[in-house]
Amino acid sequence: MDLIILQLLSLLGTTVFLTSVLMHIVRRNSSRMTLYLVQSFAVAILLFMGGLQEKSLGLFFIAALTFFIKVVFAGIFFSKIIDQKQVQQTPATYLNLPTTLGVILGLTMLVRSSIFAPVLALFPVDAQLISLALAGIFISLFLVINRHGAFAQLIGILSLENGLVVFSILVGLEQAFGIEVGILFNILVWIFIASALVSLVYSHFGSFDTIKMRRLKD
Amino acid sequence: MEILIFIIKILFVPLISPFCIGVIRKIKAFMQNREGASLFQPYRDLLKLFHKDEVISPTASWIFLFTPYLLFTITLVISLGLPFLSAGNNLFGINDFLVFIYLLVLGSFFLSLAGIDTGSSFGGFGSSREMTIVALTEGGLLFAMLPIVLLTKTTNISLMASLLATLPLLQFAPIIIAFIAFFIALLAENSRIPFDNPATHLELTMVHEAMILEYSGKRLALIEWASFNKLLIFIILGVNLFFPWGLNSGSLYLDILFASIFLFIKILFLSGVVALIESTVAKLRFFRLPDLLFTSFILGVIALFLVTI
Repeated sequence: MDLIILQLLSLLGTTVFLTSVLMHIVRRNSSRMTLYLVQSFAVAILLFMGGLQEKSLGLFFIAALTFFIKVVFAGIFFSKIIDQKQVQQTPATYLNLPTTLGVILGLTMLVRSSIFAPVLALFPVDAQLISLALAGIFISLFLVINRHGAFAQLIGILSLENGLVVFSILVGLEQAFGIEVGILFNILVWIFIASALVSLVYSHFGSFDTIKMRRLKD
Repeated sequence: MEILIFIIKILFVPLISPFCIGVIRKIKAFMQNREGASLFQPYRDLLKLFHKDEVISPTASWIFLFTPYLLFTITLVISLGLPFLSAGNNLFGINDFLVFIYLLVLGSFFLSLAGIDTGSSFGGFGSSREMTIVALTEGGLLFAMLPIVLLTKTTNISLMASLLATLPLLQFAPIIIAFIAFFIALLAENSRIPFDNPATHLELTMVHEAMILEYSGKRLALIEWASFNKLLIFIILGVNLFFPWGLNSGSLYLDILFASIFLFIKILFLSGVVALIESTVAKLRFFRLPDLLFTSFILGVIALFLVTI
């Protein structure tokens, strides 16, 4: 059973990493949203497996809640925003795609460098997966920095949070049940507020492009 | 036993490849709410072309006449080195992954030469586009396979597959990333959507079809058959090298039967994935193709880093 869980962990950890890389490559907001939903689904399964391994009802509940908030609720909410605003294409990036991919490669190399070696040395069995989770966190952060589009930045922050969850699961940093529920509640509120903010940006500037917010300086 | 495996290997790819194309076309038709042609239509198309006369341009040189035979032979030679039914028989060194890649490049090189040989403008731009794509694909293809070479410490494709099958799934994270890189290269090398549309003859978009526009009759049949074989070779390599479960030890007839059935199921699955992508993704503009191919290359390098350090 443990072996199967470890093997599934590998698959799901890789899925989370790959989705964060692909979020940089896709151009449509709906594709980026789908990638986020896939990533969140992988995180929910990871939590469910954690529940199986530790036979913890609390973790099952957290997994179910994660699925409901990050996959079902976020999916419906984001689809509505994209459909209402009719914004399929994301505004451009600061760096072109080859340079973006070069930076992604650099971030992955950084995680495998001597800087993170002490962290990875603590978990020799899962080192590869932990480095992928860390790389996923940095790549998501880079998505927030590199994209002009407010919607892409919103997805980037949520993807960053998914990376943190995967990292904490892999290194065994699960929190108490109350704290986990609290974090998920925060995510729910974040989705509400960020979506409202993104909608406001759109209604005021007619675009998700944050470059246009420079007019605020005047 | 070895002779039997040799015969099966050399016959498997050319006999199954038209069926594989038929499956892809059938799934695409299903996705478009059409009934579609029979699964065996590609066999009938090949038979029809083999019975047709040829029209050869008077300006065509030996390259134009020789290329279809070379392309078909290359696919047969490569199929002998594929990782199925036997583990590690390195016949004339064709099991080496570098030999595999450079035999493919040799085929693309001659096809491009044949495209410009007759002086047709269509062939010229087709060859030019093909060379651009091939030059950018080879890096991704090489780096997609290098992580497995480093993990298994061999360049023999069959041995790579059988050694990889013994690794625990926990170490498969870089292999999955490398497979995505390989899959992008698969689509590019086989002129599939989003790189090229095999069903179109629009001068603005065609790549592979532009190069073979001057061919007819038996030589066209051979080129078409070779391109079917090439796709199946990539599919077999994808399913058996990156997910090497169900390979046989080659010791029992029952093992061979089981491995063949398992391989066939895996082929159908990956063909379905190719058809699904072709039905849901639009063909990319030519100037966006390098981005996708560079993605393949970077994913290959990431997989390599995860394996090495």
